[in-house]
Amino acid sequence: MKRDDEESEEVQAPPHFAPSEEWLAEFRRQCTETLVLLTVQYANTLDAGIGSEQPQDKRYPRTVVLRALADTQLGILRWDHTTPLKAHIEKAIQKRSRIEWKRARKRARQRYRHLSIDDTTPSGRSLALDELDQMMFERLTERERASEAIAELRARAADDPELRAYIDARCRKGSRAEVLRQTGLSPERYRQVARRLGQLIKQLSIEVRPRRGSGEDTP
Amino acid sequence: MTRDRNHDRPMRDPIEIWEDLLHDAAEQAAEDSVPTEDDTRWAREVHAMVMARLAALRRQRAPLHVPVRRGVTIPPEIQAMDRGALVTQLERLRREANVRYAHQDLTGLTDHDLRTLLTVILEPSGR
Repeated sequence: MKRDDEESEEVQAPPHFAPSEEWLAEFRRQCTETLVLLTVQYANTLDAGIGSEQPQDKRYPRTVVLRALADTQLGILRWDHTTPLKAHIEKAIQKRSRIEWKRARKRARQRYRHLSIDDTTPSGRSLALDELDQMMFERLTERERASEAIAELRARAADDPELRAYIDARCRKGSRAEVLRQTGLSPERYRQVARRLGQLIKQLSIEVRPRRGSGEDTP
Repeated sequence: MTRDRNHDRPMRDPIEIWEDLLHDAAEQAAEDSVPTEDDTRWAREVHAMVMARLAALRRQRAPLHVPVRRGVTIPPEIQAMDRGALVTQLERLRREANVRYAHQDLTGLTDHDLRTLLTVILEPSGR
């Protein structure tokens, strides 16, 4: 089996997409209700962004998953059937999220037009200053923001040597298998570390990317 | 290239690192989540829709005009097989001998249909 972290490739829909018998059999075998549920939850977590809990409304993540599955069946998203379908759908979700975040970023100014730095009430002024801080942060490049987020994550994980070691290893190694080899984490320990990582991400003070809600809601 | 101050080793692109960390956390959160009834119902509907589309793709691959064979004589050894044995044998042929038939699940077919299908597949001219 090929490695599972290859990008899902979006191509022009072929006029007569005719996948092989093996492709159809693999798709049928791998596309279970569980896969659908897991990928919706995955999309929901990515959609939550940084520093917040998951949204209750699942319309957006469901739409993203539905679209990824449909595009794969139409041949718009090219899936190599010797790789895991779940990883392919997750890649498609990541790609869609990136597009949405880029759109949202372009509309950042529209988000703050209701704010006024001349607001005389303490709460209004505080809110305006917070939003201006955030606006300044949004002027950073995506790479600078990612660096800031990683730095904050490492600082917050200072009291958790296992998680800190995992983050450090992730900074240098490209695949999860390499990271696990380097850190010596068992699968169960890894799951616990990943849970603590998720909790820390929710606590970050910065948004690495703007919220999708500032752009268009439809994928 | 950015360097890791603690280890003095080259670091990967921060965007890639960040994507990987988000991916790890999101994948674990998905595995830990408990779906609601509404989630399960929705997933079932989507799964059925995806399978219907898959069946349509399979039908596209089948030849349009297939001669219908009538009067197939079922040999005694196949006649003696029960439904479970018939399904097992047909599934094995599909997996190992690359035999193709339109009824992917073999549901909705009578025992006689299954015996006829197996007889036709095993006939030298039927392959």
